[in-house]
Amino acid sequence: MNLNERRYILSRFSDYYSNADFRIKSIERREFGVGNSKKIDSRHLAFGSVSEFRGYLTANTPLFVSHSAAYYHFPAATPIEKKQRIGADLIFDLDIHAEGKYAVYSRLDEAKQDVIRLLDEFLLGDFGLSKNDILIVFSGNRGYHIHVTDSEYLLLEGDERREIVNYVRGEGLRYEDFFEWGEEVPKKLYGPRPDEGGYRGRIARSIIEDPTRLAPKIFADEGRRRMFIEGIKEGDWSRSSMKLSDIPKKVANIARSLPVLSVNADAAVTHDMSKLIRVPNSIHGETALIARIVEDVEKFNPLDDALLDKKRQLSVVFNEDVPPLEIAESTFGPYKKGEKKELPESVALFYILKESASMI
Amino acid sequence: MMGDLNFAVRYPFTSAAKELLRSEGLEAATDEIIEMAVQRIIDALNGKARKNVYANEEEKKKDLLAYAVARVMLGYLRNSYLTNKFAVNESKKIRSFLDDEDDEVVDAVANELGISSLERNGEMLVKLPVFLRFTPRSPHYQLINRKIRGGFVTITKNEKKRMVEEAARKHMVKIPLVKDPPERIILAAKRLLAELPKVEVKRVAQLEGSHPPCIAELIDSVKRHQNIPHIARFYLAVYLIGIGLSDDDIVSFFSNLPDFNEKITRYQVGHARKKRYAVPSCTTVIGYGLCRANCGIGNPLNWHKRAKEVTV
Repeated sequence: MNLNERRYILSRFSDYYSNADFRIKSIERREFGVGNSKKIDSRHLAFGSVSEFRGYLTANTPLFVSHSAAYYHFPAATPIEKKQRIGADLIFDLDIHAEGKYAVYSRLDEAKQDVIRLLDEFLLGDFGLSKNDILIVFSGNRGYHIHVTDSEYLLLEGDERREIVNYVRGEGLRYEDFFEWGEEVPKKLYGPRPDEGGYRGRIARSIIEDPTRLAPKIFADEGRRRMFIEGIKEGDWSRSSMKLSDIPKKVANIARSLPVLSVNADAAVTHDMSKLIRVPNSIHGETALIARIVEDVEKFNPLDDALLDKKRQLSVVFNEDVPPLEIAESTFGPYKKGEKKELPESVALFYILKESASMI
Repeated sequence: MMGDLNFAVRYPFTSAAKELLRSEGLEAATDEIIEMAVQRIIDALNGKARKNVYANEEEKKKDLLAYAVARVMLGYLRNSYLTNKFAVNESKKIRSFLDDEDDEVVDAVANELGISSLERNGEMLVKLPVFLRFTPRSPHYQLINRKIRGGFVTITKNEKKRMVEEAARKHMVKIPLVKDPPERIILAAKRLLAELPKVEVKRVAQLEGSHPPCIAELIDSVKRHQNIPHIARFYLAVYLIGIGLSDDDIVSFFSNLPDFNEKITRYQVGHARKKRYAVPSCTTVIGYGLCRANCGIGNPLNWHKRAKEVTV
């Protein structure tokens, strides 16, 4: 990105920021950081109100802007101990990893499906959180950030937050231990019921949904299937002609899909409360995509809903070959090195920031 | 009233205890009580969680006051090593009291500390964040091995008591700063510091060896958990790197400092090593105000040549 491009891009960011919808809870208690050469060049900034923040962004537009997960008495104070932390949002960072510059953008739906599971199964289910205390945000690049603002979670320390991440990721879970043998003869196998909470209920429900995954031939039969399911509902996993001792191991195999593995286990922002997270509805400076607050996860499509501007056009020349990309409701590319193209501005900015194209 | 006093003396952090203390006031702290407070902190250092036996109401009141005076002393000293030891010891005492109590008393103490539980289908439930905040981080309390539903975790009666112990410890670790306590308490606090026993630090050959007087004094201070200024920490760290200690050994040694923070220490020691900071010359050390003997060796590392030590 040359100086001209940078100037152009920042002026477009600035235009966006003059009207952007910021919903930062307790903005006056947050520390802010901005970045141009990297994601955070300078931090310890603080703003008293959204309009003050907006004024800063439109006048000194950065490529990246983040705020602390933490709330502080003195957000601008240094060193960090002097800020006096009051609490911190619980943040989950979900992202997709893929080889190459562009492969990840065709797989963003995987991250979205994990967000839906994290939300329904874990946050609203196991943790009993209210939707009002959860903010789902597209990260602006390869995944999503979930901000939990429930007041009881704000006080958790780093290692307590790590426990939650381990839970969501199923770290250390032994499904075999969910089963036990009864005393009767012949021995019965007892296991989790679908109406239980946590992983126990989850695995029981998952098996009930489709028992053929345990034994395709046996449970192809409607009657056998029903009998097995009725048993599981009471915690009795013995009502089938399957070899009972095989069940725990087979269940454990199926259960591997239950945790949400795209939740980043080592995300510093989850357990280190001094870290900063991209400001929801700010722009990601590597993609020009908006880190959009997601209202309806099911319907959200980042490469359409997170675009900056859909009307303007911009001409670019490609510096390298790029694969086809589904963005802005159509397919762009593939493009060859040296190819000149007029593109929707947001798509053009995306390629420029990815250093695949230059403005002409 | 008597019931209150019995409760307060066992659980001196509760509002019932504070109420009693308010009516007594710190002015009531006699030399005898201050001495009891000092002893209470020394007991904590030695890990003696002794339960007192009381002959009469007066002794209970004295004991309660001694707890308050100990807290004031700790709040004045701001020595996190002492405060931690005290909190651990007191919370263990609390746990052993709880083991003999009826459910109602356990609940009352738990509620004070923000641990309220509810009963559902014969199970005891606590809110998930409360569970996380007040359980030790051990395999037994891993969330993944727990029965969780709708934001609640199932616990047993014993686990609840363990949570109260942990919550009491956390409560007592957070000690408010006391700027100017009564003079007699200040004197006792200073005496306490002077009497602090050196604890065994991890034996590292280089630390045991002979050192120039300025360094020897700093090492001694750290072993006594006394605060040393930033520049002294820097000097000591660079010196310890210079005589060949590993980062781990230096960090573990610095963990004796009352305001030890592992992350910061590790970063700073690593940084000093990476930057290859030289051990300052004696002239510089004099400038730091840390020179103690004018031994005329030019550079502190020369001490070993002079002392013909082989530890370098």
